[in-house]
Amino acid sequence: MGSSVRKKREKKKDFQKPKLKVGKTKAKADNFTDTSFKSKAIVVNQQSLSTTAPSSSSQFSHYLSLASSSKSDSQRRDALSYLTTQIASKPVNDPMPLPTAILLPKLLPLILDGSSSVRSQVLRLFRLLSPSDIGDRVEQALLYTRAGMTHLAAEIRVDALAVLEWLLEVAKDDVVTCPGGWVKTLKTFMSMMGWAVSSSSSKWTSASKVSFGKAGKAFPRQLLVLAQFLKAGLIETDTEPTIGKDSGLFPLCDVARHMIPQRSNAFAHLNLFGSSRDEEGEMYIDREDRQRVFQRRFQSAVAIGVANAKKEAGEAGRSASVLSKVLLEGMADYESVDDTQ
Amino acid sequence: MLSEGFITAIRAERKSANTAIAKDVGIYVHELHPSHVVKSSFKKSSTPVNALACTSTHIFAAQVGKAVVHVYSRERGNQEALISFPERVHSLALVGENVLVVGTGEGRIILWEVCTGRLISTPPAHLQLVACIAATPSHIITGSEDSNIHVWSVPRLLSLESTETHEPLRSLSNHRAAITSLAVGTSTSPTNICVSASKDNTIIVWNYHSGDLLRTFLLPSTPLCLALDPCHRAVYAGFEDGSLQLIEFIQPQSIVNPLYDTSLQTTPVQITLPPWIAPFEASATLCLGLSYDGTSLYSGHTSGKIAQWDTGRRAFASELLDLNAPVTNLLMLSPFAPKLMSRAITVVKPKLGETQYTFTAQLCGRMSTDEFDRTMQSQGFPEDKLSDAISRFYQPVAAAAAASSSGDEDLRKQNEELWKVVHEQQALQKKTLEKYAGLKSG
Repeated sequence: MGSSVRKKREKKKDFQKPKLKVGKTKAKADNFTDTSFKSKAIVVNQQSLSTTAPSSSSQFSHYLSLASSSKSDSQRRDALSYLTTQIASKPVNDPMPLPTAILLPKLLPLILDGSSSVRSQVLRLFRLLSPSDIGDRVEQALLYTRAGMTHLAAEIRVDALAVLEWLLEVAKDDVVTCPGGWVKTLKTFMSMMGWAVSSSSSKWTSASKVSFGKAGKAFPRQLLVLAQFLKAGLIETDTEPTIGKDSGLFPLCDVARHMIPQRSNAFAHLNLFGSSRDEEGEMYIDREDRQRVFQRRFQSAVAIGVANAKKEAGEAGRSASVLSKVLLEGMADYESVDDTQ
Repeated sequence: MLSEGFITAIRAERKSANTAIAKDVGIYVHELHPSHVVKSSFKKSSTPVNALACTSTHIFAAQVGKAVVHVYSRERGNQEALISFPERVHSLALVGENVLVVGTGEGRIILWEVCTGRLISTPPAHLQLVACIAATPSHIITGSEDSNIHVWSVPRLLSLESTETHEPLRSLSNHRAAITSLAVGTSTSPTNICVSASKDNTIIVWNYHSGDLLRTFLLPSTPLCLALDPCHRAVYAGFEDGSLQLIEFIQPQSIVNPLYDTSLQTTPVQITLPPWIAPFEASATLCLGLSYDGTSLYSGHTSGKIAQWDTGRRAFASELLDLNAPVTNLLMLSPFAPKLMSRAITVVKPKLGETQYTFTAQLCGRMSTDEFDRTMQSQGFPEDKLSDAISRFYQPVAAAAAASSSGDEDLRKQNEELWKVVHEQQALQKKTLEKYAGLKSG
């Protein structure tokens, strides 16, 4: 009696299938064998492997592209220091690994870089480039320098002043005569130092903003650089007269002026193909033109600002006296001619 | 705002799979100011060196290895016609706006008048293919691989007399290897120069009117293309190794143009200045173009790069574009559109064996000139203006006097006073002169 129930139950068990429950995996079969395996692999990024070392010029251009378009600050700074050592250590008569025409446009945006080590390194690199090449490209360089001088971050403003100092050392005639070089740079100076260009009433002094805090330390330096800029623009250096040299070739005079010019873009002042330049973007080649524009637009604001700065003692006062000396000397022989009537 | 531009044509050999450059574009029209931009392009053209010509309405491009010239319409931006010639075409040039000169592989030149369809071909004057052609409104100069340069007269070639045998005026044969490029000056005087570059590493300056050799320059490598300064002060040569060189004709210390100094004509001049080198890898300079004011030079290379050079600093300025195929032709476009009385809207295909030709063109502007133009362009004063002015002097000044009588009175009084002063001064001057004369003699 007991064994028949047991036997029936065992026979039924053969035909019972295990129930499938929702959310649980299906039961494994009896003859299930596990065929999974583990493997390890090493993945290498795209590399160019060759038996010869890359040439120095290709390395130079590689580091140049790293310097201008890398995302990490330290990589940019290291690339710039490599470029500086390469240029500094080449023999004097060797040509540059890449001409300034290619180097300068890629490195100028680094003036506005966020990290201070990159900015100082790029200025060191600029000082190694040849002055005549910089003189041809000064308009582009001034664009970035002016953007730096009016930047929101104070450190970038200070470093842009250093770049302007270097430009004035290396190519001061080109800086003041290039299109937009005189008026636009003066305007950025005015806005950087807070000297309102068109203020009529003298009751409200706007000097408080600029002489306090971190920006206050930069104020004497700004005055000095402005003095240097005005000196380059308003005070004439002695240039040798070139007229009368070849008066020996009688029927021809000034033959040298008819030769193929030695300067880059000798007809820039004619502005043949560009859009018309307004007063700000004009090239002021003569000293009198620069004096005229300065007197009409900036002299009053500069005079008021210098007077206020002199009242403050210390560094600012000393720099202001230097600036006032330059102003006196520069505008001493200017007579304004009223040509509106 | 004025703008300068240039047209480049490539020879289709794709260097690398660069998907940024469209595959079948053969001719690009670039504009340089305010910044370099490609204005338009034309498809399906593969041109050899020296085989591109353009007028204000059409672009003519010969095809590599074929006896065919593609004609593209600049206004419509598409290919207008396909002109086939009896032999392979190796070089093209334009005389004025209306005659296309085709240099063939057999050594003959064929002139096709674009507006009438007239075709004139010469017997093979060259022994090998015609590699380059330069044309002025009155002469055609052809250079060939057989190292000869022939000078032809355009009126003689185009004359309607059927008995004219077409022969060159003269042949200049001082070169010793194939001629690679020719440049002719823009002067209209009988002392106009033409400059030829050849594979024997020399550049020779000729006076093609008289056939005189003016100067030979010896170079360190093979010049492939030439660009002449707008005032003929110098010539720029592009070499096989990708560099450029400036060869000056005029020295600042001499009165006489050294080219015409007969004592210097037989001695060749060695050019020893260092060439201008591009920073990218060396590939042959195939074509050169000089800007309108002569301050920028544009070069096209075998690697497909178009570079801009600064002639003032004698150095590389920037790389404009990379076209991914050898840039074989670069034609500069003048910023000033030429003032034409007629322009060809569609070209007339050449039909051989015709004796009657029809001239098809669109007239632009008016024939009659207005008063101001006529007065400006006549020599001296025109007759009628002079007689008109003279007759006005004799008319009685009736109306004017009444209106400004008081003003006249004042003026008359002032005049009298001034005359008095002048007379007094003259008397004083006479007295002092007499005194000096007296002192001198006594």
